[in-house]
Amino acid sequence: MHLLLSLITGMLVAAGIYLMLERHLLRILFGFILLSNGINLAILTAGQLSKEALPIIPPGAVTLEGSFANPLSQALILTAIVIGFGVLIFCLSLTYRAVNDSGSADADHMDRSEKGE
Amino acid sequence: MGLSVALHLFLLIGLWVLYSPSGVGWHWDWVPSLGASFSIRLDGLSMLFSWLICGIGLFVQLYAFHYMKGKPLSGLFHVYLTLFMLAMLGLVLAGNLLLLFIFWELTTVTSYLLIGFNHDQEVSRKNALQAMLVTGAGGLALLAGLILLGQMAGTWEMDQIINRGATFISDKRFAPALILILIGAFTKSAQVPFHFWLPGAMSAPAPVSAFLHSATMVKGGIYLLARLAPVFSQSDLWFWSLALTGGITAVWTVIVALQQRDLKLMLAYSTNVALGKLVFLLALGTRYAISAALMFIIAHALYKAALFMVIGTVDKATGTRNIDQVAGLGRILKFSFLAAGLSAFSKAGIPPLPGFLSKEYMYKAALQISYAPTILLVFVNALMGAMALLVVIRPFISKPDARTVPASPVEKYSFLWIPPVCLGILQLLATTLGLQWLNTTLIIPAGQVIAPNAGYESLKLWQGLNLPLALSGVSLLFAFLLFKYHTWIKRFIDRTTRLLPAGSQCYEQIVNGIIRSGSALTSILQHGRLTGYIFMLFFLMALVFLFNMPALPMPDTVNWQGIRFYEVLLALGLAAAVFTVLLSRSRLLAIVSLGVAGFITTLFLMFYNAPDVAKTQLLVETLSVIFLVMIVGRLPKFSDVLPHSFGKRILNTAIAVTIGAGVFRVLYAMSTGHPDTTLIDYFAANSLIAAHGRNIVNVILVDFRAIDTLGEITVVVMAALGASAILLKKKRTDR
Repeated sequence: MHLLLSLITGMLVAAGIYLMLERHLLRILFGFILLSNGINLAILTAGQLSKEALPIIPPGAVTLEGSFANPLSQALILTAIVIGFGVLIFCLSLTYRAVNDSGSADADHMDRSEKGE
Repeated sequence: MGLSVALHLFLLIGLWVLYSPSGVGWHWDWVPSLGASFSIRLDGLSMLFSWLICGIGLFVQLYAFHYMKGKPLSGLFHVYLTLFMLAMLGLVLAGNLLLLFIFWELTTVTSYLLIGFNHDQEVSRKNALQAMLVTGAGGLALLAGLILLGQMAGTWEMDQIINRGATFISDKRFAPALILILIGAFTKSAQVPFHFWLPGAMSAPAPVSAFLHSATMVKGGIYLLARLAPVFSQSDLWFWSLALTGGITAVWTVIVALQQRDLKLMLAYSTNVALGKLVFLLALGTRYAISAALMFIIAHALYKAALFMVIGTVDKATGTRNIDQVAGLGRILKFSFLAAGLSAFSKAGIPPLPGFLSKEYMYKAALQISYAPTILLVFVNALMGAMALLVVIRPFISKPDARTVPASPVEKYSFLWIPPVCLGILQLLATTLGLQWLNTTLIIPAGQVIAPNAGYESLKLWQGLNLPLALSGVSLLFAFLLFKYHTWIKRFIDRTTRLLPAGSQCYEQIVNGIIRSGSALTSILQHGRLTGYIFMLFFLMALVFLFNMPALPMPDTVNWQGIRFYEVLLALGLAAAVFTVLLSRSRLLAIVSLGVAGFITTLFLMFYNAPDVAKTQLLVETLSVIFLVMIVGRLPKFSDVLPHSFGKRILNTAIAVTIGAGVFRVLYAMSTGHPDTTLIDYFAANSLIAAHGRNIVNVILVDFRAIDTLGEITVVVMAALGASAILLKKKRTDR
């Protein structure tokens, strides 16, 4: 199972990076989304996969024994998803504003601040 | 002013009370974990230097009292001067390498303040910066050298390093440490090719020059060499680099010095000469050479300080320092004439002054070695002597002519003449009444610090008729002849040296080159194209993966176990969705495929027992798609933006595939290892007991790692605020 998830992760990362290297702002954003998904899966895979038990202490028990899914990586992914979403929304509004102001969605035309005007 | 004089007197007396020729030391811990301690070492060598620093410092302060009177910020000037004196004192008293380096840098910084004191003049600022850059760069080299030395010794305490010094020579760090330390010492002591900052530092007020050139700053490098001589002096590298650098410095700068018309510049170059001679003597390292060097340090400090003060007074009286425009001052500036005469006699090596004594022993030391150093020293001393005559006879004795500027009687201000005259009298006393005292308290103890087993004897003024005395006579004779035919010689030197590059020009070109290449690099890296920045980021990341990929372990057998058929199907679906996003020319189709990819990811999260994550991902994925669809209508089509060229796209693909493959390899390698489960076991054991929650993931988020979650919420709030600010802002109409 690690093999399959590692493959999927690698594919998502590669596709995300290819899109982020494009010039159209929307495609850069798409790349960002795919890359986030890939990284989330990477954290899951790195924390060892398990199909045996949920990381939830069953009623009546005091501690969780035996084999179970890694709760730490899940907690980290949750944080990552939420932050990724926040950044995505910010980037989306930034893109919208930039396109409205400059009339172009070409990342290479976004150079007004660099020219020191 | 009164305070700083009191401080100097206090230090002079305090050092005297504490001093004993066998050496005393104190030690306080400072940063014990780094081996840095505040240890003070007062032995013959430090005593010699610290007395010169405090003593000359006292006279310089007195002289500056009138010299700087009425100038803006003269109070601050005394503060700078005192700070510099203290930094210098710390340098020669430090018993710990790290402490020594700190004081070394402090002298660089405080001397910058002094050299650039006339900061309303551009040349003054420029020269101060030049001095600081050159000595600062040397300071960096010195730091590296001292660290190597400390590593070889395993300690930063200089006592222990010097005790163990003889064992370092076989260490492979020996030569690099030596070279780096030499660079530091040579920049500080203005040796060729770093000599040019010292004449540049002439833009400082006269008291600063008097202090910097005589007892302090430039002597810092000499002190360091003398201090570390027991560690390094057994190596050939030490001998040759010191002998060659010192010899070349002395010969070259004495020639340049004779070219100058500015009295102060002549003296400045002659300081270079003196430093070159000192380095040369340290290279020889015999008992005569070291005695001569120590005597010369004293002699030079006294006569150079006095001469700079006298030139300062001449400048005050006439408003010029050009040797052709001052003459006949002997009648107006009587006391300065007296001081200048005594000092110049010492400089020229006329008995019984200290300069003569040091020269005698110099020749003695050189004759022991061979004829080459003897010739070199005779040559340099003859030119030095000629210069000493020039500096005194021209301004004070020769008859005024048409070019002469009239002088005002500035000697009514007693502080302008008392300090140089005192220094002159001290010179007279030093080798007559005080010689025995100098021998036993300073020179022999200091010599034993530099070369412990040389077997010193007391310096004697009269040693009978011998070869060194004859050589002294010869150099004096030459000096007189050179003085007599000075104008011819100057013309000859001018013609021959025109072709050689000047040190300060090289320095300027290096500095300009650094600035130019810096701005060239900036314009390459900061080109202003966003795609270029992203490209550089991922390109470097791909390189890192590419070079490290072979090091990753690859499992022998591929393990297909545990992969279900539907999982493979879903993975294929995901691949199809991703490729649709990559290839689609329609924005809506791309967004839909993005959604599909996200939902399939969610399914995988479900399979691997992450229900909370899956839930969140589902929500976020849905919201993302909604937002994207809302905004997409207002954005240009894909076809409105030019794609990259074909070659660029191939390159991008290669970068993306490399990083993707790297991530795959890393993850797969990780899955074969055994993770550390300490944290997980802790969470599983304590989730219910300590935090009263059964869902361990949730407990981690809100309890065990609650600060993380707080940070995460903050990020989301900031993003929301930022986004709303961007969206709600009215469109600017002025562009």
